[in-house]
Amino acid sequence: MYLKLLISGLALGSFYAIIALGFSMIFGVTRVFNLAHGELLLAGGYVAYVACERFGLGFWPSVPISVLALILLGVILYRVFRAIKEPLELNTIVFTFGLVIALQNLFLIFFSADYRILTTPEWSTTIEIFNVSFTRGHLSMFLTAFISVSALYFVLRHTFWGKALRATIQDREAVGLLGIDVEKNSILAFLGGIALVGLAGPFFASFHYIHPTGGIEATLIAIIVTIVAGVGHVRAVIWAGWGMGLLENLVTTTLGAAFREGVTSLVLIAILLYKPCGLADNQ
Amino acid sequence: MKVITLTLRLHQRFFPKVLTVTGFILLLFLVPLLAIQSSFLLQVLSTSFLYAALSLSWNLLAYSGHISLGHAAFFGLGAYGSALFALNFDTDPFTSIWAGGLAGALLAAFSGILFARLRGAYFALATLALVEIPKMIADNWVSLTRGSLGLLNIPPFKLPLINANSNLTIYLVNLSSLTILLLVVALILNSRWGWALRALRQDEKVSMTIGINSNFYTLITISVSGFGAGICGAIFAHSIGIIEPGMVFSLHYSALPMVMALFGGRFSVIGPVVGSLVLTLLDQFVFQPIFPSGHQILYGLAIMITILFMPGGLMGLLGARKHGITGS
Repeated sequence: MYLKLLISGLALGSFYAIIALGFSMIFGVTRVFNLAHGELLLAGGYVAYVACERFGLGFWPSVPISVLALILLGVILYRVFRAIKEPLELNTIVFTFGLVIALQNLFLIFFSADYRILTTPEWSTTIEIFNVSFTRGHLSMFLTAFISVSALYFVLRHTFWGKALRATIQDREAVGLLGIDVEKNSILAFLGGIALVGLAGPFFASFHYIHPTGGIEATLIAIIVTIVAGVGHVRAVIWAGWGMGLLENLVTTTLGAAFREGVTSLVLIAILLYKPCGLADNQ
Repeated sequence: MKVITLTLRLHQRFFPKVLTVTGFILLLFLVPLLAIQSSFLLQVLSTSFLYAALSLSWNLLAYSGHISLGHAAFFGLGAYGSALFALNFDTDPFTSIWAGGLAGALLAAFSGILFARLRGAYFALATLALVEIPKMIADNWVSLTRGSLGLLNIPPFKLPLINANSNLTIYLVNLSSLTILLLVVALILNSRWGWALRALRQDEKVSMTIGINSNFYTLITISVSGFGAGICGAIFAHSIGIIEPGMVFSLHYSALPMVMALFGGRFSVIGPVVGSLVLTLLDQFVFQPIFPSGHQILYGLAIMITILFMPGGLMGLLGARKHGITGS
């Protein structure tokens, strides 16, 4: 029983780590405080839902479609975000709040308020590894998170481009003086972050029921994980993501699902009170 | 002598504006006589007055530079406070709305103290998270609030000579409260208090060195703002008659005041009122018929357009205040 909770908590946590990494990359290079993160995740989920349920594709083929769709959306969003004036953090938080409302209503127009889910019946079958039974769904989540996070870690730590990117997160102006193309780096990192959201979208739609207003909690969790871990710290994001996943599972089993959103909000407030400068501390 | 000329100049500057606004409000009080048949128009206008009052409360806080994404917390607590007071103590709605306002003010003061160190985006984020807490309590304290079943049979407003809970009663209640709130906000913003808020918005450190007590002004401002939002919630509860946690503690009531104040012009006293009238009419008469389910996309678009193209809102476009200072 506890082992099962641990596994599903860690699977949930891996999912949180992916979306938090997306948030962290977007914020790190563009300083855009993206409140619409959860809605972008929902957009990915809806794209995958259409690909699966309307066009009869399976779960895995729908993943690259969702990633591509979000990258296209990301190209437009990047241009718009660039046009926002100082004070950037406050203006982007207000702007993306508008984006939240706009996207929620677009989902309402196209998909109505119904709860929808990607049906993946084969995912509930279990596989035994070392006497521990995993469901296929959890296993795919682990593998996806493991592969994408280690790929990102490798790129950020061991390639020139990754180092330039981390330097960009730390100090844009100094990096520009060193002759690194900040603008190109920014757009690539932004699209990378968006692509991570596109990757997570189909998983979101197959683990949860998705509905037009179901994105805000994912946003709050991505922000919590990013603040705890610090912008651009890949390994810390994994730990914080797992911590959040386990906490959510613990709350759902002990207090009940009705308390989950409330506890998430309390955690966010507590963290903001502890770290009043939020993300700025971790530069 | 200097004082007299200054007063005179202020008078000349503000008098035409005050006259226009007063005339407009008087005109609005006459609308029911002209359009008594069109009850839909009355309903839409009443709604826009309620939203205008809510936006004015929101904007009072925004004048100090604090952008709140959580006024639904004060609105919802006002609705619950007033409804529970009226139901449990069997009082008239005109009495119980004060209890609702007080509930909103207390939560606002509490959050003002709790979030005193937070600024800008982080204050906004904290207020966004704040909404979930009274919602969680209202959802789970079933013996008091009946949880997600909600409160029913909340007593309606009654005015002499008018049928109880008719559109006309709600129209008059909403318009009167909007007028009173507009007067209060205008008085605050034209006093030392208001100028202290503007100074804090533009540069907090400099304001503090010239002796403006940042914590004190922020605290009283957020309390008054929460009181206004609480009163709005209370009026909403009594005019609808039914409330439940998901309805009043919703993103909708956090977003609306911000959208309307920003769109109307947050650097002007009557900007939020203009924004509410324009957006509500646009929503109900244009967007609602075209997109019956997702008509609120208008509000999202309005925020994005305002941030990108008109930081001063509609009033900024009209050139009501050309300071060249946009603040933060």
